[in-house]
Amino acid sequence: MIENSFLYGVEETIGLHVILSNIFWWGSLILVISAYRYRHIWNVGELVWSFLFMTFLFFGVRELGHLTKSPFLDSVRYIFGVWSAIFMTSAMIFIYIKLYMRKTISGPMIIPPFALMFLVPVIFIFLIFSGKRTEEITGIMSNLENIVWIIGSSITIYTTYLLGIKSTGGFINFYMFFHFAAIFALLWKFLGLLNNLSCPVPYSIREIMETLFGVFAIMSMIVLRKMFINLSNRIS
Amino acid sequence: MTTKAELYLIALSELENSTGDIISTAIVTHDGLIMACTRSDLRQKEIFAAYGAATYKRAGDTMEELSGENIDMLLYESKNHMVVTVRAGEHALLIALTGRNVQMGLVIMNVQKAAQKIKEL
Repeated sequence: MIENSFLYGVEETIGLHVILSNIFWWGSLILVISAYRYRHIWNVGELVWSFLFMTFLFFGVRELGHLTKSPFLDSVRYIFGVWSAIFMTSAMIFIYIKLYMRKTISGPMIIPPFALMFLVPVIFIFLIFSGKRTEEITGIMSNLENIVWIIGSSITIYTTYLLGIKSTGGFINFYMFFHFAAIFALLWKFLGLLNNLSCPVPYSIREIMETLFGVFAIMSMIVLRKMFINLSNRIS
Repeated sequence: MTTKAELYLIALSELENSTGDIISTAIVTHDGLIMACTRSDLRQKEIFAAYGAATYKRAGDTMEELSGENIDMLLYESKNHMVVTVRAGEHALLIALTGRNVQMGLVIMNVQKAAQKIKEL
């Protein structure tokens, strides 16, 4: 017989973590917009800034989706989750290419993230027209999101590690917090995938991972914005 | 009203005018962000700042490990170039990239003078 303590929090709930996650991700988006005002200080290009913006925007929309119980909207929520993973991964890769490989972000390099982005709704529409039930589509989209996040966060763990060892000062903290965020994203999605593959993982554990993911994401943006404000005050 | 960034830029221009064969100069933070730079290429500016600050940090760590003292100046050279980095106050570094044929003593003296000036700003 399974103990009650294990069963606690197995089911997905709309609890404190949903509110916290929404606060963290929408707060992060505001911080990105605020940091963007100082883009002349950290001139990594409009593309990186827009990718960071889209990362937080799409994940914020994904988190808003927690508030609905509709299976169809759940599937749509996963599309935004996949987009967020694609842009987070690409943003860190582009920062590394630009600052530490001293290469320009060329046109062809922009194609893969956008191609992947457009592929997800195509898969979703294909699934709808293939006659699958909404619950099945939700399951497939959930697995797709888990896999994309596992791949994306693994790449981000590596790129933020490379960026962290090559940078200095406050940027070490910025990349370190992003690194931690990616680690928690990986754990969260790995547990989610295990759960979908018929190995129940208490939802409470996953929601802690998800919340910590949001905590480290917002901390990275706080550090970045703080650096810009300090410098802006010093040179104005 | 003149901003500090403009005053920094004037100090850098004076340094470049007083010393021949200086290719570019920049004032950067310890984080690797640009405060002022005479280089016009925007992309190069970021790289200049990021690498300059990171190199100074690593050299500072090495100096501290070897001698137990803080680093005051970092000088490194290649076949055709030389880079001088000095601390310009608590939050800033002054980096000068020069050609190889420059008078090293004169460059160091002028860079230190400019750093002192920047510190006072």
